[in-house]
Amino acid sequence: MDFGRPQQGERVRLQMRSLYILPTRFGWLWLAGTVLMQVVGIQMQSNGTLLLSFLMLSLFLLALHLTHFNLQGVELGCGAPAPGFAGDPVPYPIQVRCPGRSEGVRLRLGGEQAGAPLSLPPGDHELAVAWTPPGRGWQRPGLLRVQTTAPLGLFCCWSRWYPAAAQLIYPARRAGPVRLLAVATAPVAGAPSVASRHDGSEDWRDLAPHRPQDSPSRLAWKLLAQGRGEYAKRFLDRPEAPPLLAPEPGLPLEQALEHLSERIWSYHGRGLSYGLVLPGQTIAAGRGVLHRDQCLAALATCR
Amino acid sequence: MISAIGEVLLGKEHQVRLALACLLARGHLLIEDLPGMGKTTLAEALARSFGLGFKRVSFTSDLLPADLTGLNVFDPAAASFHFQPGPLFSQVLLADEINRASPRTQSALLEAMAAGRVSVDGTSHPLPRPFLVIATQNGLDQGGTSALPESQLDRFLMRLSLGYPPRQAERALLQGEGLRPDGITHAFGPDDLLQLQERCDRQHCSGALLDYVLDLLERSRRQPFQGHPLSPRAGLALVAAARAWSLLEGRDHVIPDDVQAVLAAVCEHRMDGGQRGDTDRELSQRLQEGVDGLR
Amino acid sequence: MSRAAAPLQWLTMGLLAVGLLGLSPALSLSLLAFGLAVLTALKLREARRIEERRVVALLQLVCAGLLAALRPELGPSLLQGLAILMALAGLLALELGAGPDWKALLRRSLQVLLAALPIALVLFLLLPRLTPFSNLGTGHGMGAVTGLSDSMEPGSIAKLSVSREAAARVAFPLGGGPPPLEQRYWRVLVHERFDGRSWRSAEPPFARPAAGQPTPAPPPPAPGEGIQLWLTEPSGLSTVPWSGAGRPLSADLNLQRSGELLNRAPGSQRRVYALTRTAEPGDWRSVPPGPSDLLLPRGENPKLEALAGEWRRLGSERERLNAAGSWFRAQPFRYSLEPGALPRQAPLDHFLFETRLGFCGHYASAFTTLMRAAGVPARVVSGYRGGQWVQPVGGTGYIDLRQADAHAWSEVWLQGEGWRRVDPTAWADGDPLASATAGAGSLAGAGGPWDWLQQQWWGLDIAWARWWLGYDSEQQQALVARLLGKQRHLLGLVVLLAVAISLAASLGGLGWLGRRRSGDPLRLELERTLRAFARQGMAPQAGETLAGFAQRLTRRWPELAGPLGDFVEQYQGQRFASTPSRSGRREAQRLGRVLRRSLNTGIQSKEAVQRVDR
Repeated sequence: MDFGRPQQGERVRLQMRSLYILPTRFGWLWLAGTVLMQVVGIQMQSNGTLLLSFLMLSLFLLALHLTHFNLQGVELGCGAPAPGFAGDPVPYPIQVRCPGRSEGVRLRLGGEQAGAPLSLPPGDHELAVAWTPPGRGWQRPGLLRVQTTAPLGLFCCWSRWYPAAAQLIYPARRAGPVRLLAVATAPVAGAPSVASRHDGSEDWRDLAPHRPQDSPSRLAWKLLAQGRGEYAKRFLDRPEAPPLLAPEPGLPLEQALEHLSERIWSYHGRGLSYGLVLPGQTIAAGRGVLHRDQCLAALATCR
Repeated sequence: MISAIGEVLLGKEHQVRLALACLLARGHLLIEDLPGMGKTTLAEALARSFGLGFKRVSFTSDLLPADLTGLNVFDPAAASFHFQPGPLFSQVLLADEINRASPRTQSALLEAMAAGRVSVDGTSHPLPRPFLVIATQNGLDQGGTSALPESQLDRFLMRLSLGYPPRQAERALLQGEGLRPDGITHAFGPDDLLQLQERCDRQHCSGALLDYVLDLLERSRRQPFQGHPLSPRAGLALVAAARAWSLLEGRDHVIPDDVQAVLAAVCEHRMDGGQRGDTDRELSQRLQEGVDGLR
Repeated sequence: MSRAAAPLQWLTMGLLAVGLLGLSPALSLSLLAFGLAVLTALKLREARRIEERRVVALLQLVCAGLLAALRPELGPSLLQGLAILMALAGLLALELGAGPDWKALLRRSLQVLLAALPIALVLFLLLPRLTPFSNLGTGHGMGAVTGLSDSMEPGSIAKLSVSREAAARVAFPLGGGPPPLEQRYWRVLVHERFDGRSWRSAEPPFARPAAGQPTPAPPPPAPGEGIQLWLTEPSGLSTVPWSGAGRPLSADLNLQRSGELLNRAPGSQRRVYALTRTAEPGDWRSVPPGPSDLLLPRGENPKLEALAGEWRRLGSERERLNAAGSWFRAQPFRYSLEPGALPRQAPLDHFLFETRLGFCGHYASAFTTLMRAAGVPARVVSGYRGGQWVQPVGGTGYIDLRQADAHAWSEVWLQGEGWRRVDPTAWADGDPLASATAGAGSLAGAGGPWDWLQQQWWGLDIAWARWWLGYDSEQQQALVARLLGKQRHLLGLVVLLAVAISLAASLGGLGWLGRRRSGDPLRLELERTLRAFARQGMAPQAGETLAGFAQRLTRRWPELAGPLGDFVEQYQGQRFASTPSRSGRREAQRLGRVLRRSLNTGIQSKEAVQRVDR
């Protein structure tokens, strides 16, 4: 069941005019069963069978209204959508205000699979409906279909609406080369050694058993004096200034942005600092959730 | 007692309470702040008020795990090794500037915190009880530090930040009205603390309250991109801290207000993955507002 | 789909299977029901998707409908009703999401069913009945049931055991008490053929032509005309008991020339049937005897034939009958259930002249043979005699017939009178009926609580048969006539209106049930209080706790601090402390009322505080 004029607007209240209801295939089957029971009841002169037949007819009539009541008067609105990545299922917040109990409500965005049926008590609810945005930028999820077949599955009542709020979609995360600025010796982009954790001489890192080729100056004399054996101190070079990420030249912009998206995500996961340089926009190095979101948003809206 | 510690730490009553609740809930405390805000003072005052043994280790980059746990030393007289306990074997350990130590040392400390015992050369040595680690760390943006990974942050029941004292309190501090920690005469002993900890476990958590906590946890998991979801361990920590808080409030049962009081301290560092955002307390505040507190 | 869906649907299958158990496989419709049930079970086993499970629920309903046509009695009907309830719950479980458990589903199913019932009843009661399209479907596949009871051979029975098993129940819907005990003879079988040892029915009974009504169109009886309402347990016989007066209302009962009621449905099932008054009473009584009614194996019982030969000389048949009666009364016959077996040689002589000890079969057999030998047409009739009158609590009374009430008696043809019932057992000493007549009062109280329960149940069963199974086309027309009188043409409108009204009432009822706030009364009290504050423009902020909200309220209305504090403390104590109590909850509710009242009166809140203090 998917036709009818879609509703527009920020918030929409489902009413007689905007709700469509038709029997499902099971509903028609049910009616056929009712007729069969009627025939058997008349033929056998059986009161029980006749009553069951009338009961099924009565349930059919009742279900028409009960199904309709599930959506009657329900108000739909958009929440503030949190950003998500293109290509992944992204939750889109739909606010539902139910005047009464709404049962078996299924929401479906665009061409996605319908969600599991929900039973909503009276009051306000914010539901997350998944959809898969095709590209980055400010995206609208398309047509929202609300439908229910509860309580008996005899009727399908539905309505359609275009939610107004746009959702910020980051570029899809795809591993690939990015350009690292401000790292003088970045040999192979994509190697995990971006913070240049090479052995060096600046920062103490660890102890290791002493090898003959190690310099005596690296020997942990204090430990040796305590009788704990020969250890060599290992040092690290001070990491360079945090890298500035930029689109890899020579790649189409969209693909380069996708690589950047993945890189920012993985740097954040490892707790590293990074900056971002985009055409017309530069974000200084930093870290943290907010910094990450700022960088990703810049990617999403980059032209 | 809060007031006694409060006199030491002028104008920080809420933080003192949280620290105390942490102690009662058998949790470990991470204090994160700039130098000179009174972190050490708080730790020392806590230890002294219960008459607990107190040791302080300044973590530096060349601190080795064995420096913490102790080691088997060869005793020439007995011609055998005997275990020489390290500073870990105290009731309150103040681990200063924990983020300056190497990851290996950090993890040795945190393993000891989680298990309550230390293994050296295959022999395990139980730690004293009560055992409380108060770790401090500086703001992360300072150089030469290795941040605590998320899994280890999870082992701290609470993260506090003391912040600057209010003007009034700072004036009193400058006037020299603050008490020195060694001036605290302990009214309680370690046994009292153990008893209080046991009482904490008996604080009643009703079904309605657990529902509230569960809703909070669920909400944190439903929140996309707004921080790490809270683990079941975080839920346990939240309930334990709320229990201790309700005991401090003088009640025998836990109410949602207790949970909210400890929510920021318990959950913030688990949600932001150790990287404090620009706006303080934002995640837990948002979490709290996302769940109906009227139960 | 709720997790309770599969168990509910399997449970429904189980109920249907139990309902199928009692069916005789002889009827084509019951074969259909079997097949459908098996099909449904298979479908349920392989069903994965919701659509398939829905079809299973529908098939289950159809199964229940077929069962209802086959087993209309009270017990099976209850079972079918339960199956319908469960099938509907299974259907609801498919639609209502994962939330509700089976208890909630059953409750919901019951609600929906009850909501649908008024409309169904309106249609059921008011819609005119259609006549069956054809007579197929009934009476098919009936086998010839010639049970042992079809023949009676008393001489071979040494000891008759008394079985208290239920045989039949008969009620008299027109009111009036039961017939007097000595008039309670319920005939079942007529035995005409005698071979010297056993009595048999003349021919296979169903081959006989119908006696009374050659045309199968009896005049429709007036509603409530039934004078006897019978419920018989499965017997294996092809005839059913009746009183001998009236005529059957069901089309599949045939009144035979011999006065037997031939049942065309298989005797292995329970039967419910009604008899009605007839214009010409006792037409089977005037059917003249055939030659077989005088036949007897000559020479087997010489003494008997000699005795009868004396009576043969008497003039009329009536005199011969009287002579036989006085002869029986003069001899020392005694009634016994353990007479011992009779010899194969001249058994009746042995009984009449030597042992003089026997039960009804002996007497009927010997007396009928005597009469035949004396030239009077006679036959043996078996059936039930007597029966206990039971008055269930708050229901119509009925006569309870047990297998122990089985009896045999004779019928003799008297010229000018027709067939007359003669019960030779009554002449014997120690006849149980005579003693029952004497001590009728003491008999009624016999039996333990189990018997009492069973009698009550049978009372319900009778009422069910009378009010539910008896509601047919005629009753329906009578009801419409009573409701509408001459305005019959308005029936369609009335039905539509009634359906609309019941639909609206059902929807209203369901809506009320849905709106009714269920759950913790304490929580409801809080919500009431919050609504009261919301009307004043104060609503809790996101994530705010009750204590925090109360603080804000106190800042806005400082005079409310007292009742507010009391309520919050009591509420939180009940909600979160370890020992919530009923009285504590009531106290919280009372404090909530006080708080709302103080809020509403506003200024006079000081008094409210005082009230709380008091």
